[in-house]
Amino acid sequence: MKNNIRVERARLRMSQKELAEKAGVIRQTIAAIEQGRFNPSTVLALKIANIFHLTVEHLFELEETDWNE
Amino acid sequence: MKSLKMLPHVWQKVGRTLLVLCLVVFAVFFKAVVHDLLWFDTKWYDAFGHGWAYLLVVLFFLLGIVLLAMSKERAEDERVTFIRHQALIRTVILYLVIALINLFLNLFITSWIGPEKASQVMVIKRYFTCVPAFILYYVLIFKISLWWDNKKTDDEE
Repeated sequence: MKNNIRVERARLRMSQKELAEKAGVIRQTIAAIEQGRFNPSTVLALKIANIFHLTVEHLFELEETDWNE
Repeated sequence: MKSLKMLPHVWQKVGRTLLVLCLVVFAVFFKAVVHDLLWFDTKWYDAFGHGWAYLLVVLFFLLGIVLLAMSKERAEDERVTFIRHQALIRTVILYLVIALINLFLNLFITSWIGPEKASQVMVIKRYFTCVPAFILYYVLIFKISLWWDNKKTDDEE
């Protein structure tokens, strides 16, 4: 699953640590999500979208391989 | 994702201390175990392996492992919970592999040195398939997985 979290963070000049604190997780979790190594839960995805004032669909995008899992 | 109720992080330090103390005692016992394994003997095991002292050390060791397994990390969130679940699955697979290897070793040793000596030697191999060993494997796999995952995400901006 692809995501635009890094882009949106840069747009708001927000660090991983700041985003993590607002979302109630640790910095490494945000880094893992950005790197595509961890898929957030629905609640966490909604929280992150809410912080950026965007929709979940704008932030996260399914890839071709996700349909085959 | 709701996670299991766990002990506060401070209990990890208690568990770690108990483990270190027990491992020091076991280090002495290990020398005895190696001697027994090499000479197919149970002299040292019989001298140390029975009695309340050994039982106490085993109980504290088990308590230390359980405290480590059931305590929270310093920072606990859904990613850590996910790694915890993955570690549990890997532990089950590892435990099954060790149990299978143990089974074949039992057959091999019995046919090689005879059933009487083999039953004495096999007592030592039970350490790798007992319940505390399962919990120890889980703790090790979880800690290593968490450390490795944290190492990969060290790209602070």
